[in-house]
Amino acid sequence: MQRLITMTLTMLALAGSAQAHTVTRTDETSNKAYLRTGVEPTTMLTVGVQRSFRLAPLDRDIMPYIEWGTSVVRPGWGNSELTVGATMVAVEYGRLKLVNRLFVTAGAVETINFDSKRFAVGDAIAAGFYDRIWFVAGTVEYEHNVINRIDHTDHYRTTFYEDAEDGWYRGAGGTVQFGIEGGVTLLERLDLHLEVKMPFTERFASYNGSPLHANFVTGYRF
Amino acid sequence: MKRHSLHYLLAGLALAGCLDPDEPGNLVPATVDEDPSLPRIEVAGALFHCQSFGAPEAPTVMVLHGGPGADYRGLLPLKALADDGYRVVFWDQRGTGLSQRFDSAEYTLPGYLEDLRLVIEQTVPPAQPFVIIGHSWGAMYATWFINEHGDYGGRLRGAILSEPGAFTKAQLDDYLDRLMGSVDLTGEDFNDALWADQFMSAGDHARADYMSAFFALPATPSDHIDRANPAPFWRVGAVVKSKLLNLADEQGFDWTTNLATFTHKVLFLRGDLNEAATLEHQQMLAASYPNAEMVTLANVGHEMIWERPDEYLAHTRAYFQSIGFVEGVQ
Repeated sequence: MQRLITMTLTMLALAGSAQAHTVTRTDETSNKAYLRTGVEPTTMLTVGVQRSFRLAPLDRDIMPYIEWGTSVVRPGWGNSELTVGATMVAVEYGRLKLVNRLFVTAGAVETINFDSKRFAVGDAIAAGFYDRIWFVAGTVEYEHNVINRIDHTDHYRTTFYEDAEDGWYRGAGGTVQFGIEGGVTLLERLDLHLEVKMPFTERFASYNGSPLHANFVTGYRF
Repeated sequence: MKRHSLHYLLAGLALAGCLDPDEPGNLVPATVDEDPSLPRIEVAGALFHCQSFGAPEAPTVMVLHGGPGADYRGLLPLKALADDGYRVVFWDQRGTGLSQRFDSAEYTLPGYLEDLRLVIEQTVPPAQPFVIIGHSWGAMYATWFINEHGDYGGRLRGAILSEPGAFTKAQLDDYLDRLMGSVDLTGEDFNDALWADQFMSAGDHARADYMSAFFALPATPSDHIDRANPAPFWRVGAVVKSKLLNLADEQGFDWTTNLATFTHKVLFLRGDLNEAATLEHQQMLAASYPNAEMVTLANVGHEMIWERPDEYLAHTRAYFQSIGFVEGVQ
């Protein structure tokens, strides 16, 4: 068990984050609750909590987090996803930091053509300038769908393909996103964070959906 | 260590037993190059899904589907014209429907136009007259052909154009503004489509086609499609749709420069519910033809052939009579 924990933590240390705002002032506050809203790629509302603690063996702060997001248009479990991950500063030179976030996601979507549940893994790296109460960073994020359950709707079978296969699918691809993010802390406890990302397929083809993802995050430290 | 190896082995076996989204036939139907039982023709080294109905010697109705990227499945009610003594030819354009797919780099505008000419050469007997029925993009495609080839040596006797979007780049920009402007950015359809992209990325032909299906039906409310009776498709050709739109955007086009020489009567047949292809818009396009007639079907939108086949066929037959395109014509 100890070995598994050590391996996981080491991977996190080596691995990066769009939650990069979390790496500022971690020595002053250890908990944060946040609300994220935006296009990602649909209009989403996400709530999350994170806690910072010192990882003595690696001499670094680590910030595990858990968040749940749902579609604003069709809120509920059937159109939501749960993400668990952790953020850590991998490299730092003064206020220049390379921040890594590793995460796993379980999500569900109900559409006119199919219902799907997916399990994905992802990693994000943010490189930027992190002052005490503000930061700005460039980000690269990759998320890969490991396995999907797909059940087609009657509509899809009638309108498109009667013999479409329902079942578990592997390798449904993933998304690569390049972006910028920045944030500021107000009144010592209120974090405001904006991120804009441009998505591509794994093969760096233009994305089929929204051309741009944008999120606004409000966090409260406690 | 042995226990961990067993876990990895079980996980590997579990994934190995899963379906492959890129495998033909899993998410979208197999195409003619993947399923030898499908009817096809070979044109310029490409396999096209193609069917014809009616006697080979009968005057031919060449049906051009919409999109770009859609297919002819929703236009099959037109095969009833075979019972009137016509030969009706349907084909899925390059990269669409059940026709063979190609990578993006292989599509060119001249090549796409030449496809139509070669399909006519292969499916319409020499000296046989024909008429084109084009729906949406198919009506644009028909106009492109007419602008380039006129009446094709007297063989093309007329055309029925149902709600073409544009004949020039400027018109297309204007039309797409109206079409896309009707999309409800906070609506369920649009957001389903966007979020589902996170569950299945468009990194492969089959996956891209599968995800493009979201945008085939309700995503543009201005079309006023009947949700209770949606026109069917086989497969949306995501790559060809994207590439042709990009080529049109980059290279521009004006398919009106020679239309004045086409003196045959052209019927514009439209639905009155369509808010993007409005009466004024269709009249503006029709003005490029010297001999055009406008007929509006009441209480129907863009998919009029599927939703109102009897009315559409009645106007088609009347048009054929009016231009003397009848069984046995030479």
